[in-house]
Amino acid sequence: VADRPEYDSFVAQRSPRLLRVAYLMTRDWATAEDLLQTAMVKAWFAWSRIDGDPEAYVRKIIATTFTSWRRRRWLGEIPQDPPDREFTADSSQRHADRDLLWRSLGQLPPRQRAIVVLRYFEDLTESQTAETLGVSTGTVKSQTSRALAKLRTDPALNRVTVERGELAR
Amino acid sequence: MNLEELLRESLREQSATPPENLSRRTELERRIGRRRWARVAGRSGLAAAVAAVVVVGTAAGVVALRPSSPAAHSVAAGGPKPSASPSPSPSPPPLPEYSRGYHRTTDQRITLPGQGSLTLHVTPTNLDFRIGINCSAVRGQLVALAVNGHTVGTIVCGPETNLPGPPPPPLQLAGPDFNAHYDSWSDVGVRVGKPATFTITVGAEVEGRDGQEPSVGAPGASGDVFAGVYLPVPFDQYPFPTRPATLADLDAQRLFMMPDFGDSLGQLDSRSLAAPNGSYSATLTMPKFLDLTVCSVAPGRVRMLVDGQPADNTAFWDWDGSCYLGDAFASDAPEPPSLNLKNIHSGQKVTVTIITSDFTVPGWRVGFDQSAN
Repeated sequence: VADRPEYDSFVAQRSPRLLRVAYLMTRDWATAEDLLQTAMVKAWFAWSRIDGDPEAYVRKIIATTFTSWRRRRWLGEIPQDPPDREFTADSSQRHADRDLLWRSLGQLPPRQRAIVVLRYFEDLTESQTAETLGVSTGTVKSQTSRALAKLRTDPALNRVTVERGELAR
Repeated sequence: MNLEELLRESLREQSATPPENLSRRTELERRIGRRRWARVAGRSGLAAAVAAVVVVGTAAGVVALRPSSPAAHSVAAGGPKPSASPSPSPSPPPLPEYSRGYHRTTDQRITLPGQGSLTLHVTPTNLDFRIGINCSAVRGQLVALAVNGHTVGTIVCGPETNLPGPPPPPLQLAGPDFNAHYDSWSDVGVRVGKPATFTITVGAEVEGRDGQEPSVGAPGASGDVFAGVYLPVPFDQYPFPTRPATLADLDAQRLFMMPDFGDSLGQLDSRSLAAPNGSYSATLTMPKFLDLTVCSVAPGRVRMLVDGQPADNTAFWDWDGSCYLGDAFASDAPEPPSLNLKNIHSGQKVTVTIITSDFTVPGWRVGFDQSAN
């Protein structure tokens, strides 16, 4: 590591953000750290060959490694129920909705979850998301649509939205 | 309220407070070192039982089926029986009949650049077998091992001269943990009693794009590559080689590609103990991931326990000098619960016990260290 100062600098500066991306996919900080380090190690070996933005490169490794991990190893992911909250005010209600949505996100298949994170947290375009995951733009569109449809029809989330008539489509 | 807007809020909020990791750089250094080690050297495990395997070898193209190599070992029942052997050993065969606790049952050879792959058909009765590969004659080429069309791992042939430490042995005994991607052959679809086809492909390394594993291209060198199926042999039935007149230097032994011995939490050294065989203990603060580096220059067996719970074990089969990296995970380590120690959390004091047997000389030492995983 010491012989690649640019890599060191990159790790120091960009790790916090990339760790958040990994966490949103894995939903566990320890696993996210593992995923981030896995991606950073791959980046170290490829550092001299990276052409362009290393963050995009590492983000891509995180996303593709995450989806492949799900096929081959146990991630130790523990579904976390949202904390009990008092639904007494609009702000609390919105907070509760976000918690419910977070739980619903955990039910999405890995690729759909990765797409949601890349589109709505990293604000990547459809083509950037497609490039990151190594899939077609059409796949991103269809998977995003399916993910949003699943979220809208999630029983827990749907119960709240139907009762309050919210979540515009 | 818009769902997409709520999504953005939820994702921001849920990830807003990542835990600080002050040791990330150190952990990355270790993982990079380990990956180099796994990538280049492979990793051999302990054979615990004899496997009966039906093996039929076929190769792509015209392949010479080699007879079994003359045994460079003498059969010694009941453990290693050292005897002085002042004359230098002859060069080992490309695929020795016995190596590191395994016995070769069949082998094949292909010659590059004309032949780029060979196949081995195996019907296992258990999953402890290994695929032996020696491609040291085509240095720099990449070998990929696949089973039923699924790549298990890759390895670069020949030592990388710019890397520190001793070169890896020419014979790689590849298991499912070849590149540390899988734990068992069953993870890649191998089943007891069902035929499996192993394919070894050799050629120039084609760099993986965007972090993907490298792949094998057309052969870019000339030379022979050997591969065979190796079955484990019980320790007490293994034909140990004769003891050399001068033992290898124990202090010089390192895990391949590791910068140091790995004893930041302490060590046990047989040379300072009453006898090479026995039960010895050390007390340390349990990290989440405890590394147990065992190096030996003599045949013998080593068991490792943490507060009485079995953590790892290994065996040494020759006098060449080698190291084994064992590990133990605390209960709060982010690993599958079945892999973790029970009710032993990081930060608590633990007693690590090293039980050694069958050593005829004080030729081992164990280092305790912590790692990222």
